[in-house]
Amino acid sequence: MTCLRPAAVLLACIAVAAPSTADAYIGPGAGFAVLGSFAVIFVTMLLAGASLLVWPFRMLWRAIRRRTKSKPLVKRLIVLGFDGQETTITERMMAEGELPNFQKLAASGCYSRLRSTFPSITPVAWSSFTTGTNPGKHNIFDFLDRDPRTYLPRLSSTEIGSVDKVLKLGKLRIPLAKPSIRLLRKSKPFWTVLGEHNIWSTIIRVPITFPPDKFYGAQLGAMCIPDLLGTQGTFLHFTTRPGGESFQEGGLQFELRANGSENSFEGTIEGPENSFFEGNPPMTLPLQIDVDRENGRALVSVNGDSLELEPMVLSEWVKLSFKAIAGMKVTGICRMMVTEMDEHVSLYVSPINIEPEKPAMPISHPGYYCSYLEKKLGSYATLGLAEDTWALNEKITDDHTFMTQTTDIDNEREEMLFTALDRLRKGTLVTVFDATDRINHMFWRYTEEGHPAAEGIEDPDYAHAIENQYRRNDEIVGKVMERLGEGDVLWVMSDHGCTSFRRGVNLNAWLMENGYLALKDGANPSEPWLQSVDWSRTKAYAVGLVGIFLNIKGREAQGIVAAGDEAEALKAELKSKLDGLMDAEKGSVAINDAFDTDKLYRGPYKGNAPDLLIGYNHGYRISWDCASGVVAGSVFDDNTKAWSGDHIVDPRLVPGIFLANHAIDSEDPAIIDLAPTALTLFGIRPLAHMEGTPIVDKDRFKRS
Amino acid sequence: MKLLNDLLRPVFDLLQSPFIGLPAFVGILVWSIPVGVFALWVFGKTSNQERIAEVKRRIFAGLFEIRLFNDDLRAIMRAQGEILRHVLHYQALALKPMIFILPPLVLVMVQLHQFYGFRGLRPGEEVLLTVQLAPDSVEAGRRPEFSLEMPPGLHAAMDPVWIPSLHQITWRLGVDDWGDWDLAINVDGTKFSKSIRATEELIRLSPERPPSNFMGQLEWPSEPPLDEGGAVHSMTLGYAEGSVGILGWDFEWAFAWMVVFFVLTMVVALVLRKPMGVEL
Amino acid sequence: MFGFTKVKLEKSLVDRISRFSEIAGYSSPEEFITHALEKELAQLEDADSEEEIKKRLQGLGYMS
Repeated sequence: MTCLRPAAVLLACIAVAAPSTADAYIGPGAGFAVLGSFAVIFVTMLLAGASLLVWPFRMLWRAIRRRTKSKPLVKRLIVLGFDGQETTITERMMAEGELPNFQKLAASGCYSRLRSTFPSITPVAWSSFTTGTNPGKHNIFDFLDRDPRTYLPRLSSTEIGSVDKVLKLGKLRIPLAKPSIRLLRKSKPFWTVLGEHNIWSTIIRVPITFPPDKFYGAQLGAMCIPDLLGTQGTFLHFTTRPGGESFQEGGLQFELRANGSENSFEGTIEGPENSFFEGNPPMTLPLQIDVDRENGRALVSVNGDSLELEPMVLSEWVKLSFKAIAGMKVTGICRMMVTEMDEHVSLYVSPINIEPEKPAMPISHPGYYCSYLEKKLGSYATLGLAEDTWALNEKITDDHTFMTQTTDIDNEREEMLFTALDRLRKGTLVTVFDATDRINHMFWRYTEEGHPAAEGIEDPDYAHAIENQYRRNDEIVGKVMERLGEGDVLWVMSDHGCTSFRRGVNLNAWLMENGYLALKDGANPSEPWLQSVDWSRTKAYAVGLVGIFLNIKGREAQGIVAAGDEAEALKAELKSKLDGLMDAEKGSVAINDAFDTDKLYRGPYKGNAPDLLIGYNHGYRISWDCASGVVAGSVFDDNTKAWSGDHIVDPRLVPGIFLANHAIDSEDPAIIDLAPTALTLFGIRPLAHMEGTPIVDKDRFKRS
Repeated sequence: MKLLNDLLRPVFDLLQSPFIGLPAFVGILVWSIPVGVFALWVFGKTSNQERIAEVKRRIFAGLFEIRLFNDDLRAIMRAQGEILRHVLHYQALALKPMIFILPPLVLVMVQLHQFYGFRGLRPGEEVLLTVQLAPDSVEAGRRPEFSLEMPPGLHAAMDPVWIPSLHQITWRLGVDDWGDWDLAINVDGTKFSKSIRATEELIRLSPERPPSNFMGQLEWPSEPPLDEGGAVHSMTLGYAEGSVGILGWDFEWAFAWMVVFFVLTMVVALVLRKPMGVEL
Repeated sequence: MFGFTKVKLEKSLVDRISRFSEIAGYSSPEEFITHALEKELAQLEDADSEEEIKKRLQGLGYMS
C-alpha cells in the first residue's frame, strides 16, 4: 500500500496549492490515472538514489574482493555461436560470395575450421567451450548418461531431485523443501573466472546452463531446461481421431470429445504433476474448441481466454496457468495450431515452456534476468531444445510450421543479443543461436539425392532452408559488426558441423549378433531401454547416443567383465571389429573408428564416459531404435524421419567454424582453446587445470 | 446546471441518508466502492489497454535494468531516462480515459463535499455570514440599506459591518440552539434567503449560496443560485471544516475526506483491476 | 535450492587437497571434495525407482 502514499501526497499538494476548491476535485481524478506511473517514478527515484549512494561502496567492495589485478587487452569480447554451422556449406557459400559479412570478417581477421570435441555433440562441445577442459574434467560425455545400478539412461547435465520431506494433511501433501536441481557439468566456466576479476559477462543460451551458473554477470539458461511437464519437450496432440495411443517418441495424444454439437469439442490439458496431492495427479486445464468450418476459423478457449485460430497457422504464445492449490499457480506458455477441422478436428499444442516472467524453475542468473527479458521482448521460448523437431518427425506439424517456430525463436534470440549488446560497455557477451543446428537436422534430406527421408517429396518448399539460414546468420554478423568499436573483439563460431544421416546403426543389435549381448529367454527384443537384456550374459551394451559401455564387475550392478586386463582385452577386440565396419547392403564404411575413451580423456570424471566412442562415417549414426534401447531388428536400416542430418559421427568429419576480427596464432584451433583465449584477452592467465591453449599471442593485442 | 443540481440534490440526500448518524469514514468507504468500480470500468473501456500494458512492461524492464547494471552508472542513468520517457508516455495514454472519468467524478465529489467537507454549527459557536454585493449595485460612497431577520435560536453577536472597498456586508451570528433555518436578508429592499444549520448529523450543509455563473453553481450545488443582475452576488457562511477519523486520529480539514476517499478509491481499483481485467 | 553450508576440515587435509586438486584436474579444491563425497554417496544411495526414471526419459527429444 506504500505505493499509494505518493499519490496521496500529490493530491494534498494540489489541494493546498489550489486557491479554489474546484481545483481540488481535479486531484483525485487525475491521480487515478497518474497513480501507477507516479508510484513508478517514486520507486525509480528511490532506486536511483540508492544505486548512486551505494555505488562507491560497491566499487570499493569489488576492488577489495578482486583476486588479482588484470589488465584487459580488449574492451569487449562478443561471441556469436551458431550451433552446428557446417564448414563445407559455409566455405562454399563464402566462396560464392553468398555470405558477405562472413567474408568481410575473415578478410579483416581470420577464418578457420574449429576442432570439435569427442564426441562432436552440442552438450559436450559447449561444455568444453565454457570450461576450456576435455570431457574428463567437465563430466559431460553425451546427452545421456546411464545409471550403472539400473542400466537406464538419465540426463547427463541436470539432476532434479525429489522432495522426501512432506507434511501430510489428509489428502494434501505439503512439500517442506524445494526439490534440488543440480548442474552436473563440472569444472569452472570462464565467465566465472572473469567475474572474479570484476569483468562482467552476459551469457545467453549457451547449452548446459541449467540450473544457471552464479557469477558476476547475467545468464539465460538453455539446454537442458525442461518443459513444464519436466521432460525435454513433449508436444500435445488433441484429436477426435480414434486410437488414443501416444507417440513412440516425444509427444502425447489426447482425446477431443464432441461437446453436444458437431462444432464444439472439449478436451483436457494435463499439466505438471501436483505434488500437493497423494499420487501426484497432473494439474489440468479444460480446453474447448468451437469450429466455424464455413469461415475456416476455430475458437480455442482455455484458461478463461479465447483465441481465434486459422487452420495450420501457429498462434502466438499462449499462457497456461495450472492451479496447484488455492493461491498457487504454475504457469507455462505454449503455441497452438489447429491441424485439421473437416471430418476430424485436431489441435497441436507445442511443448509447454516454462513461463519466463515468473519461472517455475531457475532458468536465469540473476533469477530476474529472464523476467527482465520478458518485459523487454515479451514471451519467449525457454525450453532447452525449443524447436519442436518431434512434432515434425511424427508428422503432426509440417515443414512450414517447424520453420515458423524456428525462425520466431531465432528472432527472439536476436533481440536478446542486441538488447544485451547495446548495454555492454566492458566485458563479454556470448549468445548461441540454435536455429542452424535444428534446420541442418530437419532439412538435410532436401540437400542430397536419394535421401530416404525425402522419398516421395517432389520440389520441397524448404529445399534451400539451410542456405537461407546461413544467409540469415550472415546478416546477424553484419549487424553486430556495425556496432563494434575500438577494442572490441568479435568471434563467430560453431561447436560442430553437420552431415547426412541416411542410415541408422543399431549397435545393440550388432553386439547381440556378435555374441556380446544376450537376451533373457522369451523376452521381447523390441522392448525399449534394454529391458530384454540378460545382464548375466552381456559383456557390452550401448546406451545414449555416442558409445558403448562394457558391463564391468563392481561398476555395473550386474557386471560380468573384470576390470583391468579382461576389460582392456574386450575393448581392444570390440574396437578391432568396429573399426571400418561395413554396411554390406550399401557397400560403404559405416564406422571409421571406435575410440578408446581411456586414451581420449583425462581428468577425474573420465570413469563416467562410455568405454568406446563410435566415430561413424558420413551418412551414418546410431539408429533411432538403438537410442531408445531396442535390441531387435537389423544392424543397419534407413532413416526415414525428417531428422535427416546429424553430427554424432567421427568428430574429425564435422569440425565447427571460427571467425574473428583479429588474426590468430594457431594453425589448428579447437573449441577447447577458446576459454583460455578469452581469459588471455582480458589479461588473465588461463587456469592450470584448463587444457586448451590460447589461440592468440597476447603480444598481438599489445602491439595493436 | 441549475436543473442538474436540482436533480442531484434529492438523489444525493437520499443516498446519503443511511450515513447520517455514522462516522464520516464509513460513508466515504462505502462511496469509494462504486466510484472505484465506475472509474476502473471507464478506464478499461476508454483507454488503449494494449499500449498501456506495453508501456508498463517497458517501465518494469527499466527497473530491472537499474537492478541488473547497478555497477554501471551510465547504464543506471540511461535506464532512468528511459523510464521517465515511458512514464510520460503512460501519462499521455491516461489522459483520454481521464476526460471520460473526470466530469461524472467531479459531480459526485462536489456533492459529497457538501456532506463531508464541513460540519454543522453547534450551540455556543459564532459564525460569519458574508454577503457579497454586486459591485455595480452600489454607487461609490453610498451605504446600502440592509437588515437581517434573526430567527429564534440565533442572535447577532455584533453589529453588521459594511466594507465599502469589498462591497461586503458581514454579520457575526451566535448560535443558541440546534436548528435548521432560512435566514432572510434584506438588501436595498430585496429579500434574499440563506440556509444555516446547527446540527451534529452528517447532512448537507451549504457554505455558500452561489452566484448564477457556471463555476459557482458547479462548486456550490446545495442552494439555488442567486439571480443574475441582482444586488447580491453570493452569500457565504463560514462553517467549520469537516473532520475524518481514522484509527483514532481525527483529521480536521475540509479536504481530509477527499484524501481518504481518493486513497480508498485507488485501493478498490487496484484490488479489482485483475478480476475486472483492466490494465491500470 | 542453491544453499551452501560450511564444513570444518583439518587444515593439513585442506592443504593436501589444494595441492592435489590441480594435479587431478579439478578447477578448485571444493570441486575435488564435492566429487570425492559424491562418489562415496553413490555407493550408498539407492537408485531412483524405475518408474521415476522412465517418466523422466519420456521426451528426451534429441535421443529417441
